[in-house]
Amino acid sequence: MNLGQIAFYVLGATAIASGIGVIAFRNAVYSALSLILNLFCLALFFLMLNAIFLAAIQVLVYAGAIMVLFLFVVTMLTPEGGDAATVDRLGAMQRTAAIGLGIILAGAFGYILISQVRLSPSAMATGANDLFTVMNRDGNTEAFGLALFHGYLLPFEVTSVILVAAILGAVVLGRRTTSGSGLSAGSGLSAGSGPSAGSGPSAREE
Amino acid sequence: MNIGFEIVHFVVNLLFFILLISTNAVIMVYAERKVMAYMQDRIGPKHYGPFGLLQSTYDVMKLLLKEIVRSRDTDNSVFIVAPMIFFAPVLTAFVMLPFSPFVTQSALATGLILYVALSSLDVIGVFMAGWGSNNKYALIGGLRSTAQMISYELPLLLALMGPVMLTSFVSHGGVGSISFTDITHAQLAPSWRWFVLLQPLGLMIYYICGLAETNRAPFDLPEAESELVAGYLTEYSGMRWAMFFLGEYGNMLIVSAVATVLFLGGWSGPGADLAFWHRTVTANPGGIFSVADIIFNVIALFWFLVKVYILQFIFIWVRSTLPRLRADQLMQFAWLILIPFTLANILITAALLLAVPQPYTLWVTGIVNFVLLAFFIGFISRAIGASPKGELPPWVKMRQQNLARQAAISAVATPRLAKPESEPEMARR
Repeated sequence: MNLGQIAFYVLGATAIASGIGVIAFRNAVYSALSLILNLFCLALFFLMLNAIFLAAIQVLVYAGAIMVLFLFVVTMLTPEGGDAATVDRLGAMQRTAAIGLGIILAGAFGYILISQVRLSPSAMATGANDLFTVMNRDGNTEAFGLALFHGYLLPFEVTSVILVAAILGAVVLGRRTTSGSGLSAGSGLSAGSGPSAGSGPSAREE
Repeated sequence: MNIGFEIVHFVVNLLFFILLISTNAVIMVYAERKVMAYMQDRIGPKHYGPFGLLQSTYDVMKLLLKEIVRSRDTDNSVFIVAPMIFFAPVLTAFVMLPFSPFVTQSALATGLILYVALSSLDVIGVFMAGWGSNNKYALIGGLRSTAQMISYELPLLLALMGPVMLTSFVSHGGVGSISFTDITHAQLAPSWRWFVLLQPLGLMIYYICGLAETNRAPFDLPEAESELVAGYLTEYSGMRWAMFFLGEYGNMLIVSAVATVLFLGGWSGPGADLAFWHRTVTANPGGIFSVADIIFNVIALFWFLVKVYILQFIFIWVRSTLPRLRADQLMQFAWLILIPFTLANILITAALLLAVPQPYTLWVTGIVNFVLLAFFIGFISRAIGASPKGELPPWVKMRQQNLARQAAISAVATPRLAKPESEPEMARR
């Protein structure tokens, strides 16, 4: 057993334990923190596979950015009564749906484990193999960039359009309208931001 | 390479970096107190040792001997783990920095993105400290700091894109690099072209974001003494507090070192020329390194540290010069000024690198970037209302006129109830 294997088993145990922690903790902040640990373990798995770029992106996007927003929301929405006051609000329908989906997921994983599915020879000959040679020649980041901006440019652009639409929706929904004056008066970003950015120090100077 | 060697290698590196961070913190605490004292016309620490040199050593001893106090209601596990989670990414980030050609722990091909990822992990430690303390000031401080770090991460990452694009132009074959070592080399050959000459706006914005990421003044709202006691540090004492403290100073060192590597040419400087020393000093085949190599490395390390400490000096300078921002100003500065400027910088730099013909490309890029920098500085100085001529920004003038008009109207309507000037502003906010 070499160092890599030891690291793998330790990481696997941590990942599973933190994954159970996500659903087992009654305290929502603990759940979010264990989810961070879980995502970080995934990043370390990527690191063990020599996919350093993916590992860094995993930490940067999931553990560093998205989960911090989760933490924000959880802190703001924690009920007044205390940590253990989370009410069990699962309805009967939701519970049956969850059980059914869980069985399907477990069945899929079990099928993969038992039948030992491999990549078909044609897939190995074209896509995966090609990426592999690129990675060996140029290194991680270059292979990732080539795949993203040459092989999968259309899905990438479509995803970014969807994200921009989501951001616009969030801006529209989150915009405050001043009472009475409606849209035409100074509401939102354009009118409020410029003057107030300079108001503090100048007001003190006067 | 067996397990024993790897473990020894790991332990030696760990000890080296912990010692580096602590030594740097001790030096910086002394420098900070002394420099700020001179800037504020005081004397600073002077009692222990010559010129008070031993002051920070005694401070460290005091911290080590202090009792660790913990209030009864803290959330135990989160509270204890938080300083470690804050400190660990700082320690890890040192692995990627090329101090000199031979003092480089690992020449990772993805050093830059890994540095950004690690610096984004600090937020979690700060949040856990604020939440685990079970104290309202700590919680507010922790949340403020989290919001601040998340906001300033975007312009930080975008500002680093400039040097990366430049490497793709400078290096042979047109393939850029995000490895710290490669970026340093791109600024050396064939002649020095430090990227600060081509991307001064990038350095400026990166440095501002670095100030915000390390929670230093003028962005030290999370620790604003006047409103929040000590922010997320309120409940911490003794060695746990010292870990946050070390982490903050380690972060300053890392921000300065990354700025040095990306913009100031890393370890390059007068005399740091390997070929020259190989020509002058006869090679000594006895040891692992020849004499020329050792001389070259000492000089390279010297230049690297000089640049890093100049940047850290600016940290102190800024702290003793600028007042603290308000929370909403902080957010507006990141989202409405820094991010648009970095995006424009990326667009313009990329367009110029592609469009301008070969011998003039770098000249044009650099000049345009300097123009952008001047525009940026002018914009900031207008935005914060302090122009060198003492003129007020137009919107402040407009507001004054409006206020005067309103005061006149209200004076006509109800002569006794003329409002003081600050009140309408408060109502607006």
